[in-house]
Amino acid sequence: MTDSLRDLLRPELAAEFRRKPLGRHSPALQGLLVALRRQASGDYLLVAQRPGGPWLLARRKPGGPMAAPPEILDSPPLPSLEAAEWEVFRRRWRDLTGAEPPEDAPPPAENRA
Amino acid sequence: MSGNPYGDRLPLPPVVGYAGDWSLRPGDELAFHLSAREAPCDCAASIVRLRVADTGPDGPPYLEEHIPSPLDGTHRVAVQATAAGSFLRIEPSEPLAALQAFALELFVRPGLGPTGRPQLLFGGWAAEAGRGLALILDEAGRPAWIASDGKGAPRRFTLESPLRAGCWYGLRARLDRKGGAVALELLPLPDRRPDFRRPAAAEGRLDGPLPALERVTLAGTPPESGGPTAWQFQGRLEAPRLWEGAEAAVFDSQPFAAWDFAEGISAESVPDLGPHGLHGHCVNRPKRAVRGRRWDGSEQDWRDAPAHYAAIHFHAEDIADAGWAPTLRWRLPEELRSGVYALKLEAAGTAYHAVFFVRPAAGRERRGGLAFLASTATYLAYANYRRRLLPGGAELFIGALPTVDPVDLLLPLHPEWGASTYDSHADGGGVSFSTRKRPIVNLQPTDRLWNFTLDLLILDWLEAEGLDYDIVTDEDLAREGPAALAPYRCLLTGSHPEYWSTTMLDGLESWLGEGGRLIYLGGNGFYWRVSHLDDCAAIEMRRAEDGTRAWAEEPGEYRHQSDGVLGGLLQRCGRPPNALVGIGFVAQGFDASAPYRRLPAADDPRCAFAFEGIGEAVIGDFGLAGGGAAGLELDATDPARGTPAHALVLARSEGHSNAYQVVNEETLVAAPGADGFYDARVRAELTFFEHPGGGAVFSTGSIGWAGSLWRPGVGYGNPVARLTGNVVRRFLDPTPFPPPPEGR
Repeated sequence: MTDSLRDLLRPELAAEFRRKPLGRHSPALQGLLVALRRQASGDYLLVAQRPGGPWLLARRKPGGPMAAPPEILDSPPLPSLEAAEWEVFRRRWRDLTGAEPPEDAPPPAENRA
Repeated sequence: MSGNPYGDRLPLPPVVGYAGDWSLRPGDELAFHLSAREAPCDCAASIVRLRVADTGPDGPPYLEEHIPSPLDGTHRVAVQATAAGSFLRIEPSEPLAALQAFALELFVRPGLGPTGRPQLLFGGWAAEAGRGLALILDEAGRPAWIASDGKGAPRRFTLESPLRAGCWYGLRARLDRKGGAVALELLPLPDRRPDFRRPAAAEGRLDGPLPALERVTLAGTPPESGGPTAWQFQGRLEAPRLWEGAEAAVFDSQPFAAWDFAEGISAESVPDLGPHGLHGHCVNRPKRAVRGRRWDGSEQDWRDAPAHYAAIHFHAEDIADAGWAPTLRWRLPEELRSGVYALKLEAAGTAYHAVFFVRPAAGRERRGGLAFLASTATYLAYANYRRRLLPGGAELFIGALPTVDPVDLLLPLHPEWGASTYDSHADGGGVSFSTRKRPIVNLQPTDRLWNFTLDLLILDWLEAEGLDYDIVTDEDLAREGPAALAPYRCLLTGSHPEYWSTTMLDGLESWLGEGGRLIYLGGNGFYWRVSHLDDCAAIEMRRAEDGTRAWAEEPGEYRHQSDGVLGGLLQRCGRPPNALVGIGFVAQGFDASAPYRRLPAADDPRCAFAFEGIGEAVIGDFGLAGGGAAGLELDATDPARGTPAHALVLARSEGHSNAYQVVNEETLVAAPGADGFYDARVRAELTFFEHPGGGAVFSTGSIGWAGSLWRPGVGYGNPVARLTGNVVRRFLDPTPFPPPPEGR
């Protein structure tokens, strides 16, 4: 983990992501997400048990262009895409800091409606 | 690898199959080619008309209609082997088998370094019996003779010089079956990369009896009991020539056989210019019209300089026909209505659908009515899309976690079913062919909401609106041209009609010129050029030069082998989508969709019909595809690319997420912030214009639009559905569209 990535892990960004994991984000949250997805990818994948979910969390494995079977992770099925996004965000945050991300920090002043 | 590593958590279909044709009419007979994946298996079969896909808990309930047929019931389905992997088969010949001493020369560019298994270059080798005589690259990538009578270990003579991936070599090999004298000689061919590859040569002896040259193939050998090609060579071969006699000077004499890969590049056959006519036949459509050892950059078109393109590229991933025998046959009843159908195969708690499309009986089309164009060329381009399962950066451009359906998990278990044109070969080149003569796992009514499943939603909405329609497919347009559309007044595209041949475009434009009315109900349409081949069972496409693309075509290889046309973006072939439908691809993102905002042009009397009964300023802030009508892939007007001067932009989307990026073909110098947060170019534009043929064109410019025909919690009663319905009804009304006022 790089120091610069650690610097991006601000509580209010976790809270912003918790409120709205899909769609338009503040530039600061977008910066964090780009960094997490580039530097701490984990190659996560969601497998729909049925159309529209629930979803099983999986990891893509290397195995050439014809693809290797993904590994289904030991995690309860996730009821929605939003829940799945938060679960992966949590995992990445935990992997980087050793702690759970806060879910309800107040948004910084510049992001308040 | 097969079976199911996931157990009960993710049941996978034990039986799959494909329909022998995609476009049928009542009265036609259709064969279904089925196979059990692991062991013979009972499955319940039935014919169903697909009414609406399974769009999840927020969408309309899944609906398919059972069509009683003699196929109803349980069928025992056997395992059928899939013939994948391309190679060249030489016609069996007595003179070849009678050769006692011979010499071979060919040029080789391996695609891969040492693969840990043999790769056959030339010879007759029965893989399962372990018998024959062949020139190979061995497990370590070194040239070797191998011989065996099937008893005991094969004998080899190896040149201790591995070939380097991506480099051309000349290879000469001699063998005298009487006495066993052999020789190998390797000559690296220079290219622009400086290197220290060195020539190498060795002579020696193979003990024991040496088999005759029988069942001769190049680049791989088909197993005796079927299945993927054994000893697959991955890479390019050029100009194989054979001489009778094994003395060193034999290469100066007239060859016994000389296969010319520069001749008939569009064909499957390879002529032998020698005296015996030992012609070859390409199996599983290897890639031709590729640079050979002589290509120096001075030529870009194989038709002008075939000698520069005298190579054939063979891949393990190539497949032209799975080759499964027909399992079931069905004659379509005369009264069967036009629609999207499937043979449904149920086993072990799973269902698999082999999809096909039914047009009306000839002469019974809805004259002056509505047709829906099923995007079969695009379905083919995406068929067996594997890239989503590969580690990598998909999450970044999606803007969310990648998702797959359980049936996608069949793909890693069955590499022999081939890949999509979004995938790459093991040696890095793009997959440029796709055929429907194989199981296609991602053409199912249970797929994630994309393309085919969104198209089914459009059809369900038409049913709910009471708007009768016929199905026409891309194949029909490619085969018949404008005649396929002539009966109809209005044509509705699917949600993502991305892949077009210029034959199809010609047909569509000709029909528009005769007064046709076109509703482009999608995004990123009319984008890539394809050529149809194998009587429209397959497409060829090359991702040339530019575009938002999963791979880039090799330099100098931009022209299709099947017909020589320039591949790539249609806009670069002089056919920009903007000139056809007013708009073209500008941005994409896949996390969440956005609504449109009505613009003043919506009040123009020329298009007042569209907004009848719609008071909302914001349209489509709901939907099944990302929660908005503007999403996934977006198109907008651009006069410089051909948008008609009189086109009206009725609404424009706004508020797109940061995940939406301006596409690279719209970018000259890459700069930060070309996304939905900062860049106003990220938008979809709802566009209308009258056509000089007397008809009109209406375009939505978003894949997500179709998903907003349904509003969660409400259904089809919503502004997006109402607006679409207004347009369809007006376009079906024979009242002409007056030309726009002077000055527009």
